[in-house]
Amino acid sequence: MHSDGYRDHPVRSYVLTGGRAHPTRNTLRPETLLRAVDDGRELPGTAGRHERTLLQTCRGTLALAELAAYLHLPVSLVAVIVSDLVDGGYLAVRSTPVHDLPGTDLLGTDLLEEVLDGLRGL
Amino acid sequence: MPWLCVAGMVLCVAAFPVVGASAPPWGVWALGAAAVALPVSAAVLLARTARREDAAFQALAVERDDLVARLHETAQALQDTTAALTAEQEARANQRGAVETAVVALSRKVQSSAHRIQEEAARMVQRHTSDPDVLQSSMRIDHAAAQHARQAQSLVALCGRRPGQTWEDDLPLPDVVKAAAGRITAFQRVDVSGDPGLAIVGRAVEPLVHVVAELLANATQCSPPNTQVLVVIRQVQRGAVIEIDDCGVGMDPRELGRVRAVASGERAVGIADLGEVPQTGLAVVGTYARFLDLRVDITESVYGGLRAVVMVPGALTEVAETAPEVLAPSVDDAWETRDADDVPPGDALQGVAERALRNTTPSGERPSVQGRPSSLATPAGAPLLPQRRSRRATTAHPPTVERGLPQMAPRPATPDTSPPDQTAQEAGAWIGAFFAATAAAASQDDPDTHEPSVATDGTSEDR
Repeated sequence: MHSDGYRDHPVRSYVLTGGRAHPTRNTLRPETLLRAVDDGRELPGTAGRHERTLLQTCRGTLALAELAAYLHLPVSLVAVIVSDLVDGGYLAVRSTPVHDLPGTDLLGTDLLEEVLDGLRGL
Repeated sequence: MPWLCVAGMVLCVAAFPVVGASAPPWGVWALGAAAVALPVSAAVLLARTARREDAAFQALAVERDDLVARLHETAQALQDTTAALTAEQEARANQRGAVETAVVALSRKVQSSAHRIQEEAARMVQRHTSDPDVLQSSMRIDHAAAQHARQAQSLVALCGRRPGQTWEDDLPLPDVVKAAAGRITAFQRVDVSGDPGLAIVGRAVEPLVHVVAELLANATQCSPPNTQVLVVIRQVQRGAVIEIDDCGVGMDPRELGRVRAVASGERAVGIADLGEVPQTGLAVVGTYARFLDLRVDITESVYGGLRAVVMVPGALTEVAETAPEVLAPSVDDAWETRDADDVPPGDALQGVAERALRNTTPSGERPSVQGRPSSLATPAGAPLLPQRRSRRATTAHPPTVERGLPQMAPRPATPDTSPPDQTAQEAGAWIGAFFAATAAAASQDDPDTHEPSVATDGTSEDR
């Protein structure tokens, strides 16, 4: 059925998005954190199982890339579905958390590589 | 005449005693002569008649023999012709069989090449996983190839063969219709409603998808391009029903009768019966309806166009699973790992998540470390840390170390001399998880218990 990790499925990706490949909002990045809005609202009856499964997976906060990985779907495809759900108010985007590291909000690559070398040396 | 002579003679003999007394002697002589002459002439006449009849009989016998001979000849000729005809029919059937076999073989080749194109399109997206333009191109290619594959499979069906593609897993009914919509040009016009929670068993998925695709193709072609094609799925006592309504102009009753006979499978239409303007759609529907024991009917729709109704027997339906494993075509390294090693799904998924993030990062750009770590720690205080799938990590992996602080894979007894196979991104992700775990440990009292889920640290919501 699948070779080299390819797994075919009768439902094609363009049907899921109605042929759209571009999300309605361009702020979604692979690392954008998402969380289902739990306000008791049900998805409309027209929503497919894909949307439902996506929302169910996203009960906790997940990054877009993680969500895509859990669903075994390409990130760009999930971005389209996610942005629709965000538009509908079923999914909330969380701003990227900032670590309170002293003096910097981004770990430098050099530092990471140093730590890696150190760990390898253990 | 001979009998008249005999009667005359008897009359003469009878008259003799009456006449003999009173008549002159010449009268008596005349009577006697007549009594003698009449039998003689009767005998002569009888002999001549017999001779004549005998000749006629002879002629008839000859004629009869002639006819019998000709009859034999004709029978022989008929037998020969029948034999020749049978041979010819056999030859034709063989020829037709050979042609059909060739058509099936070629169609299957075309179909499998279309599926290869679809696979390549999916791989293309996986390589550029966060680029919408690539996704757009991939979708277009996929869509074109899907229609291509459908046409090829139609030819196979018209040759009376089973579809080339097969699916192992059951497919929920709404997804059957969506899958079918993906194989027609105007898939955006298909509007599906109703989900009775039924799935179609794996072996019937492909034929049913093809049937619905052909009906949808007809419905979209026979109705104005700005109208929707409405598909309703219902559960019924004996299985499930799919109704397809178009808003076209319908069909005149005679044509409708013909179409119904073809679509229901009542009238078999093979590849040789298609004619100059081949209309394969309904013939395929009929073929598969016979295969699967579907009941297909086409009637006037209340919307003015046509309504196609497909009744799927209960033997082909199952209760749908709630959590599907796969939602759409995917390219994923984790499948092999999972199948081969039977690692716990969570573990495999972590690997997938790692790879997905790695893949999304354009070369040269480092993954955002902040995004990573918190997302992989469960709020219950058991951070699910990304585990590298290196040989070192998989050699020994006691389940007890799943909880608590992030751990490194135990060092092997013999030092691994092979070059490190991790990338800087991988290492970055690991370190990110390290920091996240400490953050997660600090906020362990998060009430969320869903899995997968995350410890959230002071973030603002943004819808």
